[in-house]
Amino acid sequence: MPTTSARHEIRASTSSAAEDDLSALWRELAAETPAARAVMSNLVVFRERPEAEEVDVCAALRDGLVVEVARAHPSRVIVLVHARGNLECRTGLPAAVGILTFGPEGARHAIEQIAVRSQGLEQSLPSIVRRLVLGDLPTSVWWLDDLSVRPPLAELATMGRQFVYDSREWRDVRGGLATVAALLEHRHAPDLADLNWRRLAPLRQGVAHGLAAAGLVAAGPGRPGPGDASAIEIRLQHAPGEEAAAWLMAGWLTSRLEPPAGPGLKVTVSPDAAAAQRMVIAVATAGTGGFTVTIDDHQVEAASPADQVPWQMAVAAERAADAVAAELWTLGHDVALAGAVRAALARLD
Amino acid sequence: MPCGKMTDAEPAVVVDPVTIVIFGGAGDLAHRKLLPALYNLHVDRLLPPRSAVLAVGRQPMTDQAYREFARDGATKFSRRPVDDGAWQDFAESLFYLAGSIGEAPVFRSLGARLDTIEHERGLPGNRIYYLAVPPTMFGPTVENLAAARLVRPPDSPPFARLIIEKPIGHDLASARAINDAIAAVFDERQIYRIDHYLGKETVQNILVLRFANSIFEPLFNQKYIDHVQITVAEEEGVGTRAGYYEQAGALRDMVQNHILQLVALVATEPPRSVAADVVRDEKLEVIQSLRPIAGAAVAAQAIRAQYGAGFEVGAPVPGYLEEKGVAPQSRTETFVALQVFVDNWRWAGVPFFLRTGKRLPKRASEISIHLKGVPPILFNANPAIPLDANVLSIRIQPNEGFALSIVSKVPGPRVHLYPVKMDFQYGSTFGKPSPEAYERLLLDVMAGDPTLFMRRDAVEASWQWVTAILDGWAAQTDGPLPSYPAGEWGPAEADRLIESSGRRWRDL
Repeated sequence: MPTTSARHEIRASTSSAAEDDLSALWRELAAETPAARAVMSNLVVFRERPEAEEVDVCAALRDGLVVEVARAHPSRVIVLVHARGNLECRTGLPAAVGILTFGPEGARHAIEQIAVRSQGLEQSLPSIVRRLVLGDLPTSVWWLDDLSVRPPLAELATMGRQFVYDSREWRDVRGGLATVAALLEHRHAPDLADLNWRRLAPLRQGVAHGLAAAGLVAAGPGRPGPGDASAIEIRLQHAPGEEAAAWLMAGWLTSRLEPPAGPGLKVTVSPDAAAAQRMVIAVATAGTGGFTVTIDDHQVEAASPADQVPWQMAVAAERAADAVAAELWTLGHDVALAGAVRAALARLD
Repeated sequence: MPCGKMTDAEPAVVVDPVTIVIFGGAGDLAHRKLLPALYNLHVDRLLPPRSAVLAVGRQPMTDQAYREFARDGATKFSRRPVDDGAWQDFAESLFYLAGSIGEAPVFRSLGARLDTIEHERGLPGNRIYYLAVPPTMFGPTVENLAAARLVRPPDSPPFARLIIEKPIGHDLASARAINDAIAAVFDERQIYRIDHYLGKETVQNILVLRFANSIFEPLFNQKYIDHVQITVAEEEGVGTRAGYYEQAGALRDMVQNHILQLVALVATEPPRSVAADVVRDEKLEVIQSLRPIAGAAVAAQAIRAQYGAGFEVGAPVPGYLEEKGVAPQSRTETFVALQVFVDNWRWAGVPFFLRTGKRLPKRASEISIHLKGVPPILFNANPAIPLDANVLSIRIQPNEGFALSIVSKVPGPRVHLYPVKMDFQYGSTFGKPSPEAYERLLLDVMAGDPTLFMRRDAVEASWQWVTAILDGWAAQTDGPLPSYPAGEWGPAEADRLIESSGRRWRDL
């Protein structure tokens, strides 16, 4: 009976010796269990922990979410557990190296991991990452912390080809939008991948249906706008924790409907602590009567006065790891997200 | 012999026993490179039996002390652990002579010592003189060798050969002066100018890759290649070499020799044979085809910079100007980025972007050949998600090998494309580490094969091209040099150099 169990070997190391120690671990494992190295990209995972917090750097490699993501999208995983501040930067930072093997006997694959407990100035972080990434492969930076209150060092956030984050974590939506918008303006702007934006895909489809049904043609290069955009009013009500999503939807709608030099739509975003749905978007127009789109954990529904039957679409359940992995597979500039971020920030300003 | 099975028509190279005289034998090069390389040749049974090594150095030392010095070097720097038995055999072939090579009496002692060693070991008198000394000593050393009647003519056995290390001069005039001084004693056929990059397996493999595989060579021209990048990155700072480096800088230290040789190998026309001078003729042709960078082009196409304070793997490191032995107002460049064109039919209009520097994020040397992209239709129709162009990358160090980046469909029901690479690594494919460059090169000198060594005309052609840039820089005396933080891939000016053409430096 072939085995399909995973095996996770982890060794303590230092930031300077990590590469050599990882090579030694590969040799050690190869002698016992042949496995093909699976690596499509570099995945740099950043999370911050206070200096006073005892960090088991080996345990950082066992983080279930990170491991699941790396299995779904084979990468060299580099986990930075950083203590920010004016601490003394030093050589030989505590680190760990690991190799996870999985798959049936005779067809086992292996992914490699490095974790570093860094400390001190953020400016020192790129030198750690540059040393550890594999050249010749795309690099994605996955930011696990709330970037809305502590913006990442631009040099670190832009060193990869892709920057993955989750705006649902934002405590300060305007701050988060400003941070992300600044990344978009960077000369080495990464492709943005917002997990929250991914969750909004069904809602965007519902809104797109409503717009089409209402005869509101999206604005865009070479395409006319909806005419008198000032005659459109959009109200977004969101459940707790969905504020960033609501503003992204507001930005997206604005960027689709508002001609660049137009008078502006009327858009309001407000929380609803008692809401049964995650979000309700009501679009009112003078001529057609508008439409309403709602989303909860199970479905999206778009309805307008003209509809006999509301438009509905199921919201597929997606595991967190699968969502991250799916974003990692998809390299490319998300024009819609970029437009939504810029427009939302303009409204908040 | 190019490859494949040995046949009767292609006999194995016979290497006769030889005595290798290392001037500067107690120096860093001997300690780190030459002695470990000779030890490995001995272990691999490639060093001819009874061969001897006589080191000449200033500090007084016995043969036994020198053998301990050599063992220390082999222990620290050999690619394989030192075996006691093998070492004992090898150590008996090591000898030491103390004395200043600027003084004629030392050479009389040298002659007598060589006679004794060769008589005792039954050696035929073949000699290789390795000048592991500063270039200022090249001329006096060969003159003293000649005066002591230690140099034999090229065509009469036993042979006498000379190996010299870079730097061969600091500009065209000084290179010519050195070459003239050596040529007064040794025939060009006896001179082996080492560029250790040429001894690296992947560098030797460039011609094989191009001309032994039908898939690549048809693509190596301006019709299919968008551009070429060559990076030689050092992680270390100037360290203890400030005395030398202050006079040299990155352009002289790396570009004039190693990198231009790599350009020549990538760009050369197919040689009609693998004979040494045929290959070297073709490489020379490339160097002579390099478009001069002179006058206003220097500022636009030749970026130089110094590293400032920064970080190495998270730890702070000083800037170049704070390094011991560096002048506070130094304008020596620790980084160079160049945009170069090879003005011939094959490479017309294809830019070669070259960069090298110290205190870069990692030690890595690579040649990458970037092919042109596919048309913006079909899978490349979405301008927001342009497909990556194919790249053939040749890794010189570390992880010697090459890779071909291609675009592939991700397994699954939807058509998702992702850049992947087909990778060849020497270590995992052949199951053993490659020999060190010096092993191959020393063996070639013993065998009398100069293919991997630089000929005088190539050295001088390289200097001629580089000297134009040096002259341009010399005219720019105002203001400090651009700087880059240690641990980064160079200054913003270098990014602008390549990005102004819509391209980017490759992440290594």
